Amino acid sequence: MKKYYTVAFFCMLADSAYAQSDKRDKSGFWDRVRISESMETAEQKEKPAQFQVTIPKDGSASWMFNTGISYALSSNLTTSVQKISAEYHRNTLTDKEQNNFQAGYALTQLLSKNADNGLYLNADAQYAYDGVDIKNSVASSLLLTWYKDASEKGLSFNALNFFDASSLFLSGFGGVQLQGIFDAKDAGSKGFIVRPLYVLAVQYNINKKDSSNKKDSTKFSAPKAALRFSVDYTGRVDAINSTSYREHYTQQLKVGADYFLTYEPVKVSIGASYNYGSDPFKGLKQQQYWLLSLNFGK
Amino acid sequence: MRRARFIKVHPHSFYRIMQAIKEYEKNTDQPVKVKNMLLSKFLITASDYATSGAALHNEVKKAIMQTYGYHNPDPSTLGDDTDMEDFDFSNIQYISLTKKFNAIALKHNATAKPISVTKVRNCGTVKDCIDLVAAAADLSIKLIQALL
Repeated sequence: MKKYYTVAFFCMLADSAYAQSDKRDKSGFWDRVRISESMETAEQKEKPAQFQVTIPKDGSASWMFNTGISYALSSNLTTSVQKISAEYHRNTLTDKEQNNFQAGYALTQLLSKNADNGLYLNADAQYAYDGVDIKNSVASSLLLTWYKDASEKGLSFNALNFFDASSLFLSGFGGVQLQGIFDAKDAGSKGFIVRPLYVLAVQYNINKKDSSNKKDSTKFSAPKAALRFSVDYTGRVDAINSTSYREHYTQQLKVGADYFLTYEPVKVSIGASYNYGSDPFKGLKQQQYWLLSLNFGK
Repeated sequence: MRRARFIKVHPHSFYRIMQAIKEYEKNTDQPVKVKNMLLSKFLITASDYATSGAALHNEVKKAIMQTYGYHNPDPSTLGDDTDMEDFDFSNIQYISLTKKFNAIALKHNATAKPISVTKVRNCGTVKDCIDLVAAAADLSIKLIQALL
């Protein structure tokens, strides 16, 4: 296994542009922007955007750039959020290069009557470009997830579960991904692919001792993670595939840990992760690598 | 045997009474006082409005804390000036919170105006959320006909 020890810089550009009044209105442009590693399942807790560049004295530069950005659209809707999103994945540091761009529209919609313990849909419609295999696609993901918070007894799902000094986040999505490759350098790559898929995520946070309310220990403040362990797994299969290349069952696993150094004025953490697998839609070919990272976020 | 006497007032009505008294106190040189205490402060002190789970501000705070992940939270511990960004809610959580806010507004006023997810996302602090739900439920002194 080839190992890569890299330093990655993560940027979260969420701005907190408060209005000049008591009411801290957050309707500004940057308040609606969200930046993540990927927008596919952006509902899962933060997966910070990553980028790194290595420019040797002699030879060509190496890149690692994993960023998704979305902008929430204004609406009068009471059970859905609409957004436009774009993401770019460029990696020349690993065994097999990745160069993938996607942009489109995304929707999060409540499907059930109960919002505290109910079913939600994450859907999108996108244009995708793969710069390694030179493919142009239109694609759509339809992913369902269950949400349950602490309004009712039992473990929360897609929301935090708090213990004495720690918290647990459980998340899972299941659905289908449709991809129509309408233009490709290799004519055999053209065609239509239907991939049933599922995504599982677990995060365990060991929280910092609360120091924000020393003057009044009875006041609540949101716990902040000091140390986070996380596991993410995606499994998919090309159930229908009219191209010349079968994918069969593909999977992607990421196991990592992050230690948060500070939250002010920006979040700073150091992390390590083991990455294994592939993502055909994002042009990530089967491989495995280690990533040591320095993370900045806000 | 002497029995304790209480007057039960719906939190919605109490809120409007308090708003009216505060507005009056602001505009007069001779506010009503109970043993040197402003009437508005006396009523808050003497009643259980500040801690009542049925009061709108506590319902809003409870909804925020439950969405965040706390079972049976004590809403009185959540400060009005708490930044909503601290909760780091996802879109799904904002939709769930919006549904809770609409239910609270409807409970206080059956003809409450619907609150959109966008408006909830725009709240900077917990106080902004309370004001948003109160406005949707028309809990405003400006709507008291006698004061117009």
